[in-house]
Amino acid sequence: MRQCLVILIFALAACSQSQAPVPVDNPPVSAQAATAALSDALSQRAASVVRADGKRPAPVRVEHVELSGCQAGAQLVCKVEFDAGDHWSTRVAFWQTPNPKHPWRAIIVGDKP
Amino acid sequence: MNTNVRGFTLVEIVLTLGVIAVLGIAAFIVYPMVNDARQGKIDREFLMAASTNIISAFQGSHQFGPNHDTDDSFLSDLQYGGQLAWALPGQLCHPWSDTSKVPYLCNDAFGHPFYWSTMSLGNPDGTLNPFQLQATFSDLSATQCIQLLQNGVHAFGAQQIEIVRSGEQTVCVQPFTDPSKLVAACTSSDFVDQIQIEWDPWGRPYWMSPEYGWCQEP
Repeated sequence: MRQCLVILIFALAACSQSQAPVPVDNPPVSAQAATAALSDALSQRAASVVRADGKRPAPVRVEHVELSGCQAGAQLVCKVEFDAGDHWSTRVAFWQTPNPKHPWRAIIVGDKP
Repeated sequence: MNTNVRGFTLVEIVLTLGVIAVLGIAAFIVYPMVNDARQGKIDREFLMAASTNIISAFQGSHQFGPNHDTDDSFLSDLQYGGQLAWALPGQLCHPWSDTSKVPYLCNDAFGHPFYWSTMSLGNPDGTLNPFQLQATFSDLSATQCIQLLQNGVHAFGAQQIEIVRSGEQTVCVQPFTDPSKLVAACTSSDFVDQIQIEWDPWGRPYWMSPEYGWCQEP
């Protein structure tokens, strides 16, 4: 009984610690998944500004994604360098989804690119 | 004859296993159902309150309105995670959201992130005119989609909901949508890529009306 209580307390402590942001050397999102997620996020942001005739802009193509300084918490937040027509450097939040078509999602949370 | 009085009887073991089984069923089946229904209600109440608060905050701003450059406005701050959004996390996110890093990226009742953003009209001089406030939810199962939209757009005080699925026509749910069509829109594939709940405090451009084919009724 006593051992069970000790294990339970350790398990609860571990769960509470897992919510805190921690530096991540090797982010779990692959460069390919990060590229796809960023393309989606930027295309959606581009589509948030439309022409007066209602036409939406073309989807954004993202290339050469590099992640650094990642922190894992409720979302994985990384500094991201990438090309999308021109070179960008900003902070991006990634999160995993249960949807096999979009295993990762992203949103730009840093400075206005 | 030597009997082991410290052991458990068969009845005690069966009873214990039975209690564990009942608790397991409650934890994995009944609790999520009850919890989803409760949190779905919280989601509706939260979205109504949050959208009202955000819209009234925008409307109180001098930088708000269809004829203003909003580049440095409250709206732009919201979209790019600026200081004004930081000042209002309680109005933007559920209380249980982690807003310490990403202030406008909130967690919904299903534990998925959702975020607030705006739709704007681009002007030739590069300025933006906002016309829509959106709460965007991603990658919801069919069941979660129905739970979120159960009471329709009236429940959120929203003008429209867009249901987006990969490779398919975006479906627009209007206040007059038949509830059975809403369920059909949620259940035609395993996952709904995105649900955008939309408020139009500035008025809707003419080309966003359904008759202009901006998106289709289910």
